[in-house]
Amino acid sequence: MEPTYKKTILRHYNNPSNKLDLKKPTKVFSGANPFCGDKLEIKVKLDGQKKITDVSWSGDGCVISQSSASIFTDMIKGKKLAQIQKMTSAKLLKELDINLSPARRKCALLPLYTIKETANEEEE
Amino acid sequence: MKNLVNKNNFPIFSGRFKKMVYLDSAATSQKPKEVIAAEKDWYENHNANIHRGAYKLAEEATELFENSRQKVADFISAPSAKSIVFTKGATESINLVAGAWARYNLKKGDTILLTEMEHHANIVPWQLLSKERGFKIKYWPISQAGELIMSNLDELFSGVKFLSLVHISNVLGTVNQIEKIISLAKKKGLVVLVDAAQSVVHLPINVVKMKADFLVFSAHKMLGPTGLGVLYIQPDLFNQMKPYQSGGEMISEVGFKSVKFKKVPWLLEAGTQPLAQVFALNKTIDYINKVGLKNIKEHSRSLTDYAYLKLSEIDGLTIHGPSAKKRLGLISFSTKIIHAHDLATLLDRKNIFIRAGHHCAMPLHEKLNVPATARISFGIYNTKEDVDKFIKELKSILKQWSQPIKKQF
Ligand SMILES: Cc1ncc(COP(=O)(O)O)c(C=O)c1O
Repeated sequence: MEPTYKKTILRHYNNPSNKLDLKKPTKVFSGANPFCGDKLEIKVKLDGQKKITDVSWSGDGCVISQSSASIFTDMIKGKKLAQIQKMTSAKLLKELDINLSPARRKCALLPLYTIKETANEEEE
Repeated sequence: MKNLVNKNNFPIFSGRFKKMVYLDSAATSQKPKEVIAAEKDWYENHNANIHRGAYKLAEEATELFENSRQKVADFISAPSAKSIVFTKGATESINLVAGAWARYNLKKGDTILLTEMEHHANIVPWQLLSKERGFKIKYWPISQAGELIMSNLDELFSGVKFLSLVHISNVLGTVNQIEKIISLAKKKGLVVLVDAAQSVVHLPINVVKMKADFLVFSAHKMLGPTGLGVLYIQPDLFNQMKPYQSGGEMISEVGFKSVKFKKVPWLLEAGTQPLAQVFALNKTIDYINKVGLKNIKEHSRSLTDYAYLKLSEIDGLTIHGPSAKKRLGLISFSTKIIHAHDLATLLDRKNIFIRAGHHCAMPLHEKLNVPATARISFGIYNTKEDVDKFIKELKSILKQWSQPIKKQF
């Protein structure tokens, strides 16, 4: 049987990137998953062009949400905040490369919706 | 521990999901073939709209519909069938009480008492109504052990006009001492609503003995059809009920400028009712009576005791809620080793279906200080083997996940 969680996912879960507490962030985003109640906080430092120069996150949750936060924060470093806020769910899901049921997709998309500052509801 | 019924009497257990261990009956129960057959029978042999046609089929349909109302009344020992209103579920029953009773019979500044262990269905309607009408909401605190704190009730009840509480908590499994609570509340003149969504399928309910003013439940959690619920109204309150929704069926006379309404329960049943489902609920109750609620209670008792014992033997696992003997039908737990969602996903791989999340009780989870819990809950078709399979897989997952995960690479 194919493993439930891929190695890369488990690696991020065990050794998450950017799971720190950024001092003096420019902006703090917080989000929650209405399906399970998991909470997430993302802090970013922006330069003059609103580019993300540094990022950290904190929160507890399942393997999917934790590894997604790790992978997502890696993805967004060096990018413009406005550009990240336009990222589609599909893009993040593709990056994670795991098969998820609709319910578990909400876990995976929590970081994205936290930064978009919108409810954790997938766009049509 | 004997099996109570033959699983094969529930077609889903011999269909596509033959091998499943279904431990989520608190969310919805599976259906016996008698109930499935009844819905089909309605459409094939009885279907006509009720209270309307003057032909044989329609008159018979009306009679069958009203017979079902009587069957439900008998099921919860209500003295009159007029006390039974059909709704689309426990949620709508509560919304109905909020919209058609509390809205008109509570005054600005009156306090509504809820408990800390309520389902969102018994919180949000009251929050919305209170915002609109200026009512206050107070929460009855629970103890560490997940039971309502029974001291200082005088103070708790002071200023309270209405109490709405759950009979069996869908997260903690706690069986509240409902008779004692209502009799104390009645002494203070409170009107009481009982949310029996979880209890109605595990133990006999007697609304007269209990002295409930309102009692609500859903058919789908008690082996019956989806899309149908029940609201019991104590007869003294009939005159206090105002229309909930309006339209056909609930009126006795309509002019262009005036309208006269029917009496309870018909006043509260606007539009065409879920006829096939009401008929199927009648047959559901026949089925439950055949198995016997006493036997069902005993079966739920022994499964709950057994699973509780097995779970409590597992290191690092926290069971939320009271001891086995103070609960019925379900157990929620959490562990630091693995998040409830991951656990549910891994068990799903083994065809063991459990619930993970906040079970529509976010305020309670805030109190428990866990974002999510895992929950197993039982139906009359569950067996000791189901619990054994679940415990075995749970242990093996916990063992695997408590080792440094690097070893898995
Ligand atoms: C205690 C309790 N109350 C109310 C409800 C709501 O029932 P329904 O969704 O069938 O309206 C539930 C169902 O989850 C419940 O467990």
